[in-house]
Amino acid sequence: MIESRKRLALSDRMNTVLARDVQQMLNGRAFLSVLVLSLLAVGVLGGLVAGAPERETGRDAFLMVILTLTPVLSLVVPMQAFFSARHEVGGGASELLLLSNLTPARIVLGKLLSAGLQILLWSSVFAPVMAFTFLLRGISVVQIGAALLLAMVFGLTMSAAGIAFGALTVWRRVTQLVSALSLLVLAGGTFGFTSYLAFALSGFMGRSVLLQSFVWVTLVCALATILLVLVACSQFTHPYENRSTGFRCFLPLATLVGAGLVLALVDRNEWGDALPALASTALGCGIVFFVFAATEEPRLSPRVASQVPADRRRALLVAPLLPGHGRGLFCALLTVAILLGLAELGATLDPGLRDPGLMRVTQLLALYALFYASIAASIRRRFPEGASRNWLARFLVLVIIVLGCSLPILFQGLIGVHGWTPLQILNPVWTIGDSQGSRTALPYLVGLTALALLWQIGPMMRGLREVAEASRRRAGNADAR
Amino acid sequence: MSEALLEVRALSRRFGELRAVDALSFEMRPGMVYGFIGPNGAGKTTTMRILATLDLPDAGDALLEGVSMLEQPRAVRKRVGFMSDQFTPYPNLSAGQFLDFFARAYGLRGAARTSRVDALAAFCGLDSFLDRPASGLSKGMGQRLHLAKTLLHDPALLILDEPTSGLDPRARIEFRELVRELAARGKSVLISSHILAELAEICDAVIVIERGQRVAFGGIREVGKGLHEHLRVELRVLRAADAAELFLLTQPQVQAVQRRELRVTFDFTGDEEQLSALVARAAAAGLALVEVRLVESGLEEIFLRTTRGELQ
Repeated sequence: MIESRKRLALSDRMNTVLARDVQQMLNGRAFLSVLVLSLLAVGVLGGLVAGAPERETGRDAFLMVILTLTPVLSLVVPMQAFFSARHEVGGGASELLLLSNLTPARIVLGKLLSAGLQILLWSSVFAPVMAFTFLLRGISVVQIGAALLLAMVFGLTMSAAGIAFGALTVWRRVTQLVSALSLLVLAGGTFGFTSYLAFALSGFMGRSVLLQSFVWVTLVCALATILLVLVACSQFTHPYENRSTGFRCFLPLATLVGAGLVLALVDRNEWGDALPALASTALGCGIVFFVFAATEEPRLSPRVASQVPADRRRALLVAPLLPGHGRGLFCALLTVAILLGLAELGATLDPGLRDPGLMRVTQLLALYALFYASIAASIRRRFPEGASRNWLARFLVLVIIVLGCSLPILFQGLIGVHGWTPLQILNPVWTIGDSQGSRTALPYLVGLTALALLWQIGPMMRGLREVAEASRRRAGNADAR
Repeated sequence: MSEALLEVRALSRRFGELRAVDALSFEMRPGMVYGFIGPNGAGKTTTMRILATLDLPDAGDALLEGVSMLEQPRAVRKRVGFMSDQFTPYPNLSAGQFLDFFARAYGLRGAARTSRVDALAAFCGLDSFLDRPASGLSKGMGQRLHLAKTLLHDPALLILDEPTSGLDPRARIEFRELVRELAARGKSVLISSHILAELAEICDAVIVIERGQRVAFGGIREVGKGLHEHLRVELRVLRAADAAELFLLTQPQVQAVQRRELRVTFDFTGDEEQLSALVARAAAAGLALVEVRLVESGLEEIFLRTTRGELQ
């Protein structure tokens, strides 16, 4: 009796979706099949490793084991996560779940934990053979541990990708396309990662470089996992609820975490390069975030409006994080200011010489990000409400970018002009890549971006006014109650 | 404070140019079963999804126990059970595990969870099916499982969208009994179905909508009465129905006389006292009267007379 009560209490503390996924896994045939195959593979690998110790070093043997384990972790487990998420949204089960106490974040976390549990399980199945490879010498415990940990982290990231892709099949028209794409991404990722592991462990990298590269890959995987979880959560969230805040916080927060790591791990003499490089990377990725934010529905849905803080100052403080394309552009503006400030801080703190080229790249990226976000907001304003119109606006921005890059090149080709000219100003890649071009383009781009932003002042202010109005209504309702 | 459990206030929902729900208002009281009927595309499912907080109206609101669905969907969800017309159980999960999962999802913990699952399995007649794979259950048992899942958090309002669609007659009758039992336990039930005879059996009131607008609302008897300006009366005679028909045709305030075997039906424009006098005259005229009764409109008649079957 006490035992069963303890068991109940323990299972009560588990994530609900994790508990169900584990039950499904244990009831299903796929798990048993993979388990049998893995044990078989472990047996064969064990035999090979033990049978030829005089020819094979421990490192080669470990490489063989880890390269067998990796596809299981980064392809088999993520595909299961993909099918699980696809079933959730395809069968309408996610709607039923949203009526319960479960939140999208808990659903996605449960699925990710379930994938993590499987990753642990498969890793422990292969663990005895890995331990044996250490006895053959040629590879250290740290290397074995780091490689295994990295494979597990990568498997988790790929599982997050599987969940995000599975959740994206909520768009019935593109289910097949998304399924094919996810298989491609997971298979490609697995191939890329196994190649990297094979290279990293083959002895070409020194031990410290190897571990450093592992740290950075882990960091990138962690960030990618968070982003993919946000994507999955947004698909599990009801269309009329807030899907934006997570994405709007992600970029500045991730960059600030990155900056913290730079300040903690990188030599002070390199801050002047490292922080602008970090800001530039964030701004490069930011173009996508900003275009998405600037092409959202114009108005707050009544459900989001009902969650706006009743306190006016707090409401205006969180306004840039709330859905809506005017607020999205405002958020982009603030994020760019933070990132530029970060780059400037690095250059200021660095006692060494500043590289003006790197700062210029950061500034150009910031201007391009804001320019294209403004264009995106302007396009979105032309269409009526509706999620499909958001996507249409995003597609048109992509078309403008492609045309802005390709048409001037074609034109210059036709008239026989070579090298960068001001016609290439809409081509970020060429303009930033050309040192003379980037210097010439900077003032023009400042003017263009300022104009584009001025044009969007109205929607940005309307976005803030809408939040203030929602806050006033909430305060009024609270008083009435 | 209103007695209504649910107040639907001028709910509207558009999909592009289409007005799926158009200023729809009605109220629901506790312990009553409301039939929600209308032609295909009338806006029933959209309304139900809005009431279940799965969709959002463009205008209007609905208050459940005074709580706005628009502003406090989480609070409302705790008191609403929605059974959609779509049910896809999870693969590799038994019926018991399926219920246990949703019980956890609704925040039930420990012994409270297991006892709730057991109680609902017994109520829905699923006791002996709990170990069977949920995806392998028959349609009827699947719907019972779906209902049990809907009841896990003890909602005050149940919204059942076509719950008996695709069930065989026995399963339908059994499902009807379950709905009646739920109403007896104080639940308010909003149920849609195209099988009107079935709804007539269990509903206390009816909401008829067409093109998103309410065309009739109230108790079935009241709505039926409202459809006729006059009393509809049926006489049954022991013999000579033709003589009864002839007699009625000569009487004042009598219209639309129809004879079918030994029954004669007619509209009477007077009140009940005048009807009593007519019956006395008929008896005095030597008609062998066996039964005189007022005919009430059934759900089918209500549906046919209030809707035009226009598709949108």
